[in-house]
Amino acid sequence: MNEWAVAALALLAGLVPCGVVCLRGGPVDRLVGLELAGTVDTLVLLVLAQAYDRSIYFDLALALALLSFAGGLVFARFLERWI
Amino acid sequence: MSARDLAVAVLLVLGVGVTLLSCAGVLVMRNPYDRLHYTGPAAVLAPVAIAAAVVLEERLSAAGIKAVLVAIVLVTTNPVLGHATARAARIRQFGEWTVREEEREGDRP
Repeated sequence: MNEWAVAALALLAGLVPCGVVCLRGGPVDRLVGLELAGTVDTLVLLVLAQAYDRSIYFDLALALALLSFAGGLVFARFLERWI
Repeated sequence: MSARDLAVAVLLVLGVGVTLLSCAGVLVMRNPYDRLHYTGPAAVLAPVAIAAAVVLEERLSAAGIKAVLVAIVLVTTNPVLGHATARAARIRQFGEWTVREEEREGDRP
């Protein structure tokens, strides 16, 4: 296990607080938890790609960064009035 | 351990530490506006530090360029997402996206 894998494991621990925030609080609090979880996941994929030394895995992190942004915008739009 | 390995380790620790502190901050704060402030460091400082670590290790190969691209995407999209979320929170709370009369300061005679 190299230092990148250790960093990925440490970053995964950051998902626990995000999960707790997503489980309690109001709808917007949960959305903030989801957005932060998306960011942390992107970083985990980035670090794991380097840990496994496969440059193609970096595309996953890029796709997740773009999709979590689009998803967050859609959630925010719906939370404004309709949910 | 060479100077480059040391720099990579320091940048990784910085990125991971900032992310974990941001997660703890989001957990501890009590309203969505305060929580939104803590998503900033995780989406700005941490990706830059981790992408810098990847570039130091890989130089500007395909992996390095993609890591920089991911950091650029996170850094540019997070403020937009934060604004949209704060706007949603405020519209849910007050019914509209305007400055309310009791919040106006400085424009009174």
